[in-house]
Amino acid sequence: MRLVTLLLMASLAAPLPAVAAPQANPTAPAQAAPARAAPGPAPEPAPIEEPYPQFGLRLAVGAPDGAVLSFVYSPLYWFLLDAGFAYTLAPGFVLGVEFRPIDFFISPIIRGEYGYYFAGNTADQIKKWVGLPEASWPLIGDASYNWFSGLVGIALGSRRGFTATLEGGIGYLSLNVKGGSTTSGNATITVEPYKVAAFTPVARLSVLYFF
Amino acid sequence: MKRTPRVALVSLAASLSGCGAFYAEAEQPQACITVPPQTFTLPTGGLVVAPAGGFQGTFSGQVDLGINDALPDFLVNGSPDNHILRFLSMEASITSSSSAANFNWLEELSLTVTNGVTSDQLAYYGGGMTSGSRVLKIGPLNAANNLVTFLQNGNMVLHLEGSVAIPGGAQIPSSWTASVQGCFYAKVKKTFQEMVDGTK
Repeated sequence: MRLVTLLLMASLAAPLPAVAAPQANPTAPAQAAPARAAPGPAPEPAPIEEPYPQFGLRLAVGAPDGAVLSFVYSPLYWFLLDAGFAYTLAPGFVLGVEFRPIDFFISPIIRGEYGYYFAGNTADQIKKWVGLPEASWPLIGDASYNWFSGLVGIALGSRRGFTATLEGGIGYLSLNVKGGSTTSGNATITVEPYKVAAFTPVARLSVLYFF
Repeated sequence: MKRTPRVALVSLAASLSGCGAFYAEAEQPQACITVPPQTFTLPTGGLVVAPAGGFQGTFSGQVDLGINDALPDFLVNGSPDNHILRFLSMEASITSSSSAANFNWLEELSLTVTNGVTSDQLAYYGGGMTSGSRVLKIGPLNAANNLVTFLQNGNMVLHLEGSVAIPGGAQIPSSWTASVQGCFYAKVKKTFQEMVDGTK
């Protein structure tokens, strides 16, 4: 008895075959279809897809980026532009262009970026890294650096909200050092501005929130 | 969808594992070392004034610019292909205390680099200075010279050799004193692998 009741309820809840398949009788006159559909329930309007958010805020750490807080603009769901304030050994900025071809929880990323860091404490660090004797430190003047890089990576999360990304790639870094003059022994040494370039691996970890 | 992340990961792995492909390169277009005034004795033969037919002689001397002490090891140690120290110029300026007031007496000058084992002529002056000039500047004979091999094999010394020609009746200076400046170009390239290993 209970089973019959359940079957009856299920059959009432199911859509009517006549409404779902009006082409069942191809020989029927064309004007018959509207007349038959008219008494049925009105079809639900197609859901309006909410547009992708276009603006976001990103926090990234990496090398040679350092720490970067950037604003993101995404005119298309798969295309992102960003510009941010950065700090490593000195303050600077990073500009990026990014492609996320797939809108899925896991998405590949292709990214290109340019960074520039003003003279800050970079020169002081170079003096220690190079291992120059203190007497030669005046030969290393203010140093700024910039780089270009290409990265690939993955993004985890929602394009409509929060994503975390991990990227790696290659970059070309150029360190521009002002010269200086010092006295070593009885000799005076003077150096002109010089350049240190590096073709280097780069890596980046970031979190991005679209709003 | 599966292929793209795989390509990305492979690219990432390849780039991170290729330490031999990554490098750093430093280039210094010009570094100059100026040493305190150096005095070079001229052979006068006991004469103060050149005889009627003129006076000729030769002289030699050494200049130690102290390059060995001034350069960090990473610039010197390694393959000469990736470690370059190029002589650009030498400038000698007659000081006010010099016995010779100018370079009028100088006929020829040759600058040779030596480390006691090998030597190479770096520069040559064969005349043509304006009369009364107090500054002599000579450039490299071979623009592609590399002094790193000299530095690697011992203390590098610059050797001067010259000849004197003084017209009859003119005073023969007993010596000349000049401050000497040597200018160099330097370039060094090291792969990340070399930096990690610390082998070169």
